[in-house]
Amino acid sequence: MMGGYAGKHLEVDLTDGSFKNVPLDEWAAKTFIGGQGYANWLLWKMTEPGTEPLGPDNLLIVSTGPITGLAGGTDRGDATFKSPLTGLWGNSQFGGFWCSELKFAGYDGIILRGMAENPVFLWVKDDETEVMDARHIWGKGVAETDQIIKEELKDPLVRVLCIGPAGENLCGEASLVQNAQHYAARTGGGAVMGSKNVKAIAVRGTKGMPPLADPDECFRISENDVKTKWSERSMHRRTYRWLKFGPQASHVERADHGIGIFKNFDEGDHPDVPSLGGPRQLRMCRVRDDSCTYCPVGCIHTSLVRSGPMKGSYASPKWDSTANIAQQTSMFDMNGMVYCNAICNDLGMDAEGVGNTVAWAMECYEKGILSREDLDGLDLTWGNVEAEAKLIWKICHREGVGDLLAGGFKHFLPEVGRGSEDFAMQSKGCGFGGYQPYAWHTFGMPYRWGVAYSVNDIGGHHNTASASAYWNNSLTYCSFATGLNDRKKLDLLNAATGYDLTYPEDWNRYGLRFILFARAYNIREGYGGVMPPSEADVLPKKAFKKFTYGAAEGEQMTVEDWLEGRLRWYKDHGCDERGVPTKDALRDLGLEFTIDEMEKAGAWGT
Amino acid sequence: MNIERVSSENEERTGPILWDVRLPPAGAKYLNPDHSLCTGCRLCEYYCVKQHHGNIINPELSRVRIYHVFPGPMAIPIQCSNCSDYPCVEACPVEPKALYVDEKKFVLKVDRERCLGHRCGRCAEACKKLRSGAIHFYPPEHDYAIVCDQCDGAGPDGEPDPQCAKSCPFGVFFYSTPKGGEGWRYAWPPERIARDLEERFKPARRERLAKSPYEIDWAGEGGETGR
Amino acid sequence: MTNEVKIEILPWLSRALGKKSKVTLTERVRKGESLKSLLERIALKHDGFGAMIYDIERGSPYDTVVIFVNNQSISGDLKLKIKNGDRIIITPFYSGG
Repeated sequence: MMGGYAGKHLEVDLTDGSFKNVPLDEWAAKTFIGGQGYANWLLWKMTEPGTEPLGPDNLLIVSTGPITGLAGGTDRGDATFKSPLTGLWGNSQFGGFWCSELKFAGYDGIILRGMAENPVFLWVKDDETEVMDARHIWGKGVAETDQIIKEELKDPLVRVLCIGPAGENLCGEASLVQNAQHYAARTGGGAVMGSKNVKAIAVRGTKGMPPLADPDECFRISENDVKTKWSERSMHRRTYRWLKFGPQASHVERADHGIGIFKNFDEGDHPDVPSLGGPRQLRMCRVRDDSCTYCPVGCIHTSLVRSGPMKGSYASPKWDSTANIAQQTSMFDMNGMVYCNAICNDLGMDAEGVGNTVAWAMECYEKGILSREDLDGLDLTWGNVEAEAKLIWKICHREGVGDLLAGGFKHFLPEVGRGSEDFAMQSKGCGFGGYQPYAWHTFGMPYRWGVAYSVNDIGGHHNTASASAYWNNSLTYCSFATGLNDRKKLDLLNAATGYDLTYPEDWNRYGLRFILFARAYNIREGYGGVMPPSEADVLPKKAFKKFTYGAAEGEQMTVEDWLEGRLRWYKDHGCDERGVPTKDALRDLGLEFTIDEMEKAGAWGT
Repeated sequence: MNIERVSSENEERTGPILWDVRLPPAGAKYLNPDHSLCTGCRLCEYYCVKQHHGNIINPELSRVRIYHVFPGPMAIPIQCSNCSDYPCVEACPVEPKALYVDEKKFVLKVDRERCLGHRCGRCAEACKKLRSGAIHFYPPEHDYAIVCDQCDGAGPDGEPDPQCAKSCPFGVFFYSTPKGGEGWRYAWPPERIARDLEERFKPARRERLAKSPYEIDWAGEGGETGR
Repeated sequence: MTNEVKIEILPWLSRALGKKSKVTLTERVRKGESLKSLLERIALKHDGFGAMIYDIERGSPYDTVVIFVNNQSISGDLKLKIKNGDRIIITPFYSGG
């Protein structure tokens, strides 16, 4: 057995309440590492094409990687499933304390299948497993859920991964939540858990880290990681900013770059952005800082609304959840921003996703496409805190117009129509992240964000399909407060597992394998009903607008710019001009087993 | 400063427990965590285990544990407070004591051979009932009282050198000599500490993080949302 | 025939040349000139460029500067030969999620 892995997944069939240990497949572990990569393989193997996302045959796979639990930034988990939001690959990550606990309980991941008859929560303590009644917790917010479960199980060290009312109500953008602070937010994992009637998974693990191939080397590298996070060099600017201001520090900076998102992506810069920025948040509302396991950065900054009608609201907003909830809707109101985040936090909803929906609805209202009556009487004007809060509440509870909007873009755009597709800032059903599409993706990739949004395997999200991102999701490792560079991450993996992977050759090779495997899954599923992929990897008209204000003045991504970039991305990533991976690329990467089903889905046929 | 004798009878009525009885000998130090600074990163757990057990990762062997207390969450570190009346030592049934205080260094020590382990557990029970619950066992490999000894022996001359204090990025652990009557330390369970922190610093602690917008009086409090 | 390249300096590095939004420079290049030589020339011409974008003393761009040439990342290769018609983009590294 390779070091670092616990050696098995826990498969739970909710329909009959049974638990089964599934031994780790060594070939798959060596080929797909863990986390996202391995979970994709499970999803491919264990589901049929055309699975209903909210049906009993869909899986929710929550998993860790071989280095999870080993160092700061490794207490991260991957959630993989078929997404009810997009009908495509659903995928999201979360941090906190649950993942190392799962590893110390002796599992690499948990696979949920089937559907429980009544609300339950799962209790996993080392080798003991139990299905517990959750009817008395159903409907509770995520903070209260965590508290109740710790009290009921009489163990304050139990780690809880749960859903809130948004997941219970099967909202397309419902999240999985850990410790009421960490969110596997995007693409609706919370709805999948809710569809299985599972309120939470509680874990307690006392076995410690599984054996490592070279423990001394692992310790050496992870201690280096701690030192680097605090060092003067490399990431220091980012780390310092995040220590002091949190990712919210990025707001003012991004507006200065001209790439911020304001008023449903109307502008890239705005004079009022400092009112929402990190420094102001620090002074007005911040009350605590929190970390994940073994990480010295402490980037979770919790805010409290101290005055006004929303007094008492308590949330940990980050960059995108602020940008998409407040800047997107022209709500330059700090208390309102914290409050709307608090609603999303407690109800277990993706703040980034729902913000895009609200902003779209505001533009519809402005243009007369949606009337006040359509919106249940809400005067949904730009910057109206009360109206936005009420709309978010309705969406999470599927009340009134919220029921229409809760399904996500793919669900409500066809209903509303009337040209509103042109300014629905989404791709393949998933709303964009917090960067303007024209802007260059400078995490080192020479493509614009618009290209990245259009080719991303989960849809228009900014955590893009890239070797770096997908590796992080598989190791697992935090891509945020990074202390180790890519090469050192591989060193840590090799030291933990005994693998002999090289940088950059294996890093790039595996990276491309992760990317094409996700793409292959989407094609197998019919690419959301739009084939070939190049027909679905598209952007709304508004993504090509010309900017006139501030730091973004004169900027524009034309359709030609985007098409050129997208074609380049396809070619750079082993795909043809239709966005389909070539058979050669698939064979070369060890993915030949995907060819049959992709062929059946019409990948290379006309 | 109000100094009160520690006792289990008036536990509920005392304020934070203060130490008056035995002033430490010159140079002796206590670990005095400032719970308000803790972010829950658990690096203290990592280095505690490393110091006592080498290059392994298992938080169950750490002498300091971080609890995430709800409502909150609030991260609360719990470790031995060196209570001046040592109810844990008093509870140890072994003669001579398997759990005892090294009077020169003022640290709690365990004789692993003579300690009866989890089947006895009286020291842990005393700590849990009367103080913060800072003692536990890890049978079968480490079936003796696992409790903070200030990393006795880790220093260059074999003196105590607490690794938690050295490794905490946020400066939570103060390792210092209290000067007669000065300073106080918690010896409370994590929930009680969290409540006290809330009293003093008033962070929010709520079961529900956000009220329904339909319960809010939007026109109240001046009608301004407060920007 | 003059060899010319266009250099787009994106915000906020555009402030090096006094502007809040994108600045486009047109520069002549010698045949076979390296990117490093070009950047150094511009830094000597514009103080701001030298302060924010290219460190003349160290002989490299500052840590948080990202450079694309013809839509490819230079990946630290300053010896890259620049030719007529090349499009150079200089943008700050940013992130946050």
